[in-house]
Amino acid sequence: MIKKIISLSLILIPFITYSQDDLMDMLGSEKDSTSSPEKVSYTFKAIKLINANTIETTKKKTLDFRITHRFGNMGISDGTGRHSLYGLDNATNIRFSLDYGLTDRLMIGIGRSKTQEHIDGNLKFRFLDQKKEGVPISAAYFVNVALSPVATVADNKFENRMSYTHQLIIASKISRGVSLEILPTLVHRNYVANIVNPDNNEILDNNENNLMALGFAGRFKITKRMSFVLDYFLTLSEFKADYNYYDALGIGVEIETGGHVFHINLTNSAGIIENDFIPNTRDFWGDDGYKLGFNISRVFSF
Amino acid sequence: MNRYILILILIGTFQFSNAQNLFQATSGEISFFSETPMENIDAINKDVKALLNTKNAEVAFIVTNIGFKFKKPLMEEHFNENYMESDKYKVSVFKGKISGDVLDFSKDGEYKVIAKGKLDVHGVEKERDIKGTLTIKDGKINVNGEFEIVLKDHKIKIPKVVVQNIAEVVKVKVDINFEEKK
Repeated sequence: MIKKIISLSLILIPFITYSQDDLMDMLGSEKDSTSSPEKVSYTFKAIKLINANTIETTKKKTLDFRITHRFGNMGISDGTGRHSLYGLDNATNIRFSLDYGLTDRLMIGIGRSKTQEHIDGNLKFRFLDQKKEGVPISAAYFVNVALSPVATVADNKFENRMSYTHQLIIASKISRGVSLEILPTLVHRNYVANIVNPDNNEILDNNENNLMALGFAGRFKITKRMSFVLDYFLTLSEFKADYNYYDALGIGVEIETGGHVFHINLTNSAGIIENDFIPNTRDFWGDDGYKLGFNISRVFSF
Repeated sequence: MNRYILILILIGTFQFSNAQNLFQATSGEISFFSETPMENIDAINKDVKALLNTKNAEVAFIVTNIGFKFKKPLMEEHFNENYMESDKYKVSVFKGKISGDVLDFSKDGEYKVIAKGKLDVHGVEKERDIKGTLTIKDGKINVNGEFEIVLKDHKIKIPKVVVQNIAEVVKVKVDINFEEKK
């Protein structure tokens, strides 16, 4: 009798285990065993926040046409705003740019700004992707060359028109709603004006050709298509501190509507490219120095 | 002693037949198509995992949402970020039972079938009857079907500004090749 029970149960074992094999469970376990850690995508919506570059590049065969605009100082506390429609009458700076994805990781771009008539060419290469497990950050390298074709230049030398930026972009999408960035940046200007005594041309203080800055940027989603964004560049320079130059700080709202990404922002910087807003920001937030601005991006695929 | 051998053979047979009943997707694609006068959007996903049990005619497939590939990267971004919310709803799933008037898994042929089951898209499960064709040839099975998804049914909201660009009803095509699981 006992033998029979044992043999019967032995026969039944395959049935029992079989009936427990739900197809979904089997699919689930298979999936876990094969998939490698997932890449974290869409850290930011566009290639730029307000002043800062983002980790994103335009994808392969995609062209991003951008218009970046900075109005005049709003002049709220000193009352000048009433006569300039809070700066909207003035265009402190406008930059038109085209950025194109050669691959999904490599992007090249050109732009033209109003201030210093800067024409810039740039390249961004994303070399590291954040993963759900194991890799907590994404990283990219950004470099640009800017030419200032203004009518007169110091010593009438062509090389004095040139400036360069090297930047490392380190980003992390902390959650669905929060993305953060740190951007160690080096700006090199071939020519800088020293502080001189106007009477005898004696150099009182040397300006700096190389400027180091550390950028911080963040995006905080309010809804699926709207975010609060901000970026700040801490410029490490004694010269600037002594002669009333300031760090660029931008805050804004990012709105996505179909093919457009639209920013409305407030910044104290007039410059739009790194070569300009890192060394040349002379307005101070606390002193009515902020201006309205917008960035519009329209993406075309080929 | 003889009895034990018999039992062992019996167990062996069951396990063998068990394995024979199960078919696994070797290749397959799930695609969808949204058509409006303004814009056509289509995407293909080859990251499909599927199993078919010929013993009880149960079928299940899982598709990774982030695996849908679009012609335009921006469409792909919007699909993942705004509509499918792929980081929240990682997969779309169908699980059901196939039936057909003359369906016989042991015979080669082309069968008109209906898969009755649950379709889970964007975290919302819907009872669906999906019509398709099941083809058996040389021990290989192909399942082919077409159905429509009403985006509203799955709580996928289309904002007013793009309402002219995205269809309210999206056509989905399924084409999966199964081979016996070893």
